[in-house]
Amino acid sequence: MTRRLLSAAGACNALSRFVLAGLDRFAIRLACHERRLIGLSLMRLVIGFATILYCLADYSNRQFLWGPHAYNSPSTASAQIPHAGFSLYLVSDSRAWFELLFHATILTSAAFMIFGGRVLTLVQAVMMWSLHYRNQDLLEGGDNLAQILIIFLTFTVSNAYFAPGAKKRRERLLASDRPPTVSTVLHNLAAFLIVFQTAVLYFAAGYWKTFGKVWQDGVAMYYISRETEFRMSATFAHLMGNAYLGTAVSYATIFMELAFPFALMSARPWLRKANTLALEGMHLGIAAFMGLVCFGLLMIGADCVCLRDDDYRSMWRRAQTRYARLATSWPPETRSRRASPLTGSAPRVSGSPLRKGAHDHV
Amino acid sequence: MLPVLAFTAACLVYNAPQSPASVRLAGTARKVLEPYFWQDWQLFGPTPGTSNNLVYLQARIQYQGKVVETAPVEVEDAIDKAPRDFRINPTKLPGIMLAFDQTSSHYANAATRIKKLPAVQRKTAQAELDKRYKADFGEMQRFFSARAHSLYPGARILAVQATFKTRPMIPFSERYEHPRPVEKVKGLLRTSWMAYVPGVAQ
Repeated sequence: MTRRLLSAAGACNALSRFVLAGLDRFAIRLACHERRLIGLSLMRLVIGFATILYCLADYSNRQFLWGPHAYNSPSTASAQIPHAGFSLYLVSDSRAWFELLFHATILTSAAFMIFGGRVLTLVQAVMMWSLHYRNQDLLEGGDNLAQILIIFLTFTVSNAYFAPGAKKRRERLLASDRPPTVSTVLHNLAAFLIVFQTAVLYFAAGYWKTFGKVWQDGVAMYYISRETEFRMSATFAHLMGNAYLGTAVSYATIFMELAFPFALMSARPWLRKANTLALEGMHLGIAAFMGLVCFGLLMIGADCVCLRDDDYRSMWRRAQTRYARLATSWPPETRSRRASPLTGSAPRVSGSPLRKGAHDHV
Repeated sequence: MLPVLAFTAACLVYNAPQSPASVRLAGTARKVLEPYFWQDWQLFGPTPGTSNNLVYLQARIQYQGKVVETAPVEVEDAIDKAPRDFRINPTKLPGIMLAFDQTSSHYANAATRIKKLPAVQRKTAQAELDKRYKADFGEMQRFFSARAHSLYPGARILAVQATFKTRPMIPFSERYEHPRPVEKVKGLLRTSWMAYVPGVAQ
């Protein structure tokens, strides 16, 4: 009996040691260095750019859509805002206030896109939420995701790439003697939540589609391509009328969406990259053939965070290898002219913005 | 870590399909997520419509001392096709019509259900429904006033009325038929005459 009790106590101790060691490893992993820096930087670029496009798409109609004398009156807009929601556009009925705020939104988005940083992300979040809540009729679904993700983005370093001073910032972040910090933990948790939220969205979208009769029948794309609001291309509508192609696209959409969370969790990088790139391709198609440009861009931005920094580096290396191989196959007189604009040669590879950092996680 | 765990758990419950368990936990999940993390991804997995919507606008105009009604003019088609004018960054105007179509469809369904109620309950139910949709119809009133103003510039417009209709798409199985099948337009909802609202930005 005593021996059994001792062995049970030993097993408990071993388990607790295992759990604690696991938690330690997880905490060190979280605090060690910032992850998904490339994806977050791309997402910052995309959200900023999409917000500028959102404002400019109806620039000449801005008074009609968002102004103090818009068809959607400030009192109606206030009634439609959920509890604890806000819109700076509803602070005043003055036309000057509206013009100031609307142009400030465009300028903030541009500054956010170029510079990034936590303060600008917060300002961008306030401006974006305000614009969206001023007139909710114009929202396309991607805006809902952007509203959530930008909150998480305020806790991350979103300007480690593609921003002025990014190189120095990166060197500081990836320095080997850098002690663990709370901001690193916050960054990694926020990045995790962005990926988690995106994965939940795709899985839910795929799940709802499986119950739709037209999705089951494989004719969903036929009907979507014939909706007047989304019919941007007669060729696309014609192609989706093809029984094989329409069915393949309908089923592939569901398959890609349902598989996405599992692909992200997979240990095989090619699966993660293939699924993410396929979804990005789908959203490019939605932008081009359904006219939902801002929606497509915002979804692509969210997808970008789902790839790890190593995924980008490996894709970048592969693209460079392919380019170099292509360049060598060109005739000598065109080779020198074509090869120069891209970083195709070996010395330039090491100087590329996506080079491996000191603390790379492989 | 705790907020992250709370968010992930709430997010899973919030987006889970309806089940006895998810219904019990939905209230707690809503408390965690709303208002700032409110989400509705059913928009991403919709059953696409199998019909296109049409909106006919009529106006009552003061003309030579008399009140005349204009012929119904279909206004949705032009708005829906507006994004094709600039494909790189298309206008979002069709979103307004989508919202109006959805409102009219929901209102019409609710009104039909009310008609089936016992006579004593009907009046109260209708009043409640009208109250719920007051803001939406207020929006329509201003929108169609602005449309009427652009359709009849300089006219003294007194009231506007919108009629929502749907036209089914040619079914997939009949897409190559010759002559092309003609789908009948069905009426969905006709608003009451709404007083013209001047001064809506154009």
